Amino acid sequence: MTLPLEGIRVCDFSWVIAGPYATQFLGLMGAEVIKVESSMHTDINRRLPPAANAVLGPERSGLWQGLNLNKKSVTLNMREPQARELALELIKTCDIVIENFSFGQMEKFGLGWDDLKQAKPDIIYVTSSGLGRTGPYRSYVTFGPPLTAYTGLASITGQPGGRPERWVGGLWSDHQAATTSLFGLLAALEHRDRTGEGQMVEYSMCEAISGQLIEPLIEYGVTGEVPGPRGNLDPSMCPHNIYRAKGDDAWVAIAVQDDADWRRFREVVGGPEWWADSSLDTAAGRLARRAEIDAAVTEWTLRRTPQEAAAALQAANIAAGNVMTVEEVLADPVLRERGFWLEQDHPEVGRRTLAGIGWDMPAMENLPVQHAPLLGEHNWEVFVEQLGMDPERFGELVAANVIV
Amino acid sequence: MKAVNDERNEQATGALAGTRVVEWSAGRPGGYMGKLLRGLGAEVVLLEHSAADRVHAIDAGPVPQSALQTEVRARFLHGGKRSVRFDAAEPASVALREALLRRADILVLERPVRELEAAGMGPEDVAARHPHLVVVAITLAGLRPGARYLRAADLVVQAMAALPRGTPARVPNLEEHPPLKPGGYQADYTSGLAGANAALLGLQLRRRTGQGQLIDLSQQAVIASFMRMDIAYRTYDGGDGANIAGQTRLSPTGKFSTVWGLVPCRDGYFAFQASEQYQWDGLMRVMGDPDWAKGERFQDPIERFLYWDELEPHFIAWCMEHDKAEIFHAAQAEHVPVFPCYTIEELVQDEQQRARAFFVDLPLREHGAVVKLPNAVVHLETTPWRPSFDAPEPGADTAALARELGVEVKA
Repeated sequence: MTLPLEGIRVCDFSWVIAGPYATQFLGLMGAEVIKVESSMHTDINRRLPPAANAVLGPERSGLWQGLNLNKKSVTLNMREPQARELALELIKTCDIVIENFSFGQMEKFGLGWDDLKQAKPDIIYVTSSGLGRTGPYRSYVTFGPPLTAYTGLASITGQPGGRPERWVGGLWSDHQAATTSLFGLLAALEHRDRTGEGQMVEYSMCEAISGQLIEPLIEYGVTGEVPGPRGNLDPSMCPHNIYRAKGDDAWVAIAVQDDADWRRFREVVGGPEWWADSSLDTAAGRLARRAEIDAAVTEWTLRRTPQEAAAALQAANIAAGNVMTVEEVLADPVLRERGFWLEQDHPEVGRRTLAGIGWDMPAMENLPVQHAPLLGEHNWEVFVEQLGMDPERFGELVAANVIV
Repeated sequence: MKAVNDERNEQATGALAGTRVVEWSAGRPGGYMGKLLRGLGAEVVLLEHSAADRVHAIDAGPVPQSALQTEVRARFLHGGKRSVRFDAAEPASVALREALLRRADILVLERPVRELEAAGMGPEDVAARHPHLVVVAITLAGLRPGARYLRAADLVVQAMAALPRGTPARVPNLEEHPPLKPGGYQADYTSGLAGANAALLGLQLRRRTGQGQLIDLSQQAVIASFMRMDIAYRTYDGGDGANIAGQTRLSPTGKFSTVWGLVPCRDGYFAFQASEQYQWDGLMRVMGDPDWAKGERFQDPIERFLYWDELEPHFIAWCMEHDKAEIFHAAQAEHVPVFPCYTIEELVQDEQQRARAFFVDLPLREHGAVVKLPNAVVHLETTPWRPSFDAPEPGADTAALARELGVEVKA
């Protein structure tokens, strides 16, 4: 079965989360992704937990491995001029170069956009940093979690009227920024395929996150009021919340999205007599009595497990779902049936389950999964077998700490 | 007319110039996917039944005070698109739809599957009828039995992907801190973005095989894909000691740690990360190398995490005497990832955003207001993003497109 990106070659200088998440998609979709690393300064995530069986080591991190399937690893000491030459030679065989160092690092390597487009005019160069390549703060250092505060997202996340939330789940900023970068990259690839023209694709993590805060921006612009945290409430829907359900730390999410939903919701839930009041037939009327309505909904949900409540409501075409734990997500039959989970067989940590991809298509049946690469695992394959380096020269470069 | 022609000419130079998209969406995910493709040069044609259909598609309610906000949202999502009136009960309307699909490259479907099927737009059927098309069907949990007819909402998507279990993490009291969704409509917009990516992959595949593709996009799976660290904590038996998100939501102290935190200061909050020793050292230099931080057991990230209760009062006392901007710039000068916690108001006024022209003004003349909306989320050097907030009236392009395609429709 042909995969969408077969024949595409990627030189991947990216590290930590955002870049590797994007390039893992490319690898899973059939591209050959060659990760340029260094054993002298490894990707911080190679050393971070969760580690297989709680034993740390560069080949044991579940986070790193979950971001680096279907890639090859070569190791270069970029402080050495010969490493730069080797990298450039590799880039000349590639379609895409991607990096997410702090601003200016690739230029220090002598591999900035001006260097690369001269070496290979049709190359697509994807570059990102926390705050972008231009502007007064372009050199500021960034990691996804603290950046979330700067994007405005933290200020609207929290309990209603409460303080901003310190943590947005799913390492949100990193993953979301990576998904944004893929869009630019794939569009640039489309353009190159049609015209033969390469180009630079640039994005800022901050803009990727702030760019999705549409409703709060509109609310501020229209009303002049600064939106704050609203918990799980919605300014135009009611009921709309996460409700306590039967069971230990059990919760169900319910979103009654319009007035027709409300009529069906009432039929399923029953509810107190005052729910028949015509003032509740419109969202505005329900929003005015939100606290009372939510209290009555909770009386109903508390007598049911999240699954029972969600099933009853979904049967009436109302959006509802169990607020799953991560364990429940792992066991979810729907995700299992669509083949969401990826299984890697790794030489050091064995067989491990990792998160997959949000979309599915016939071409992805029996998707090949290669374990995350060992550090420098593909040095020989890439430099000698693919680039045609003399084996003796390869040995010299290893001895000279260029290939490390 | 000149403005329309100018816009079309600009479209012709975009990265996706020549790509034709038909969008039948019921909310933010499909609308945003279409917006992204249009912004980089694709021609996007909306199928819409009526003005009420559009309002219902992008907002619940009606809630009278939000009507203007709904209008602005429509301009954001549908600016620069074309609109064709579509009624599945009218043969001429169906004929126009089919003509549009015959010449299209991508079809965005984001409506309840029962509605799609009733209109002859079941994803499998339409993909079989138009094998050249890249069909992207966006649903809550995919098209397989058991999930196919589930009703979606941003909150429910997040719930079914476990995102609210990690937001917040490590809460001191489960009852007072229910699982929490991130603000806004993150699952909806991210699903639209993922849909755009999937569509572009579909075009790549078509280039290689000559065939279109039915792409089944599960919003639940898109967001679950972000939960990879939390998932790896379960599948790697990695222990919970240094897990920021926590395997259980309950944490006896519920406090931030020296690894990462959101800390109160004189005029709000700021966020920092000090997972590396050099970052902590830099932060301490900003604080004037205080004696309280010099104890031997505070020299290691894990030790600092364990003994944070002893450090915290000193740490916060210093922060409360300083502003977030001051801490931001001083810490960044020491290469420590520190950021002020911005409100939406502060974000749009931020010097960096202004220097990069990230927000563009949408004046609402009748209301005397200006809304700042995001410009490009990604920059392509030679084929830049083309913003547009000129949304077509529903059905505005019906006659023109029918003429162009040789289909007769009612006036």
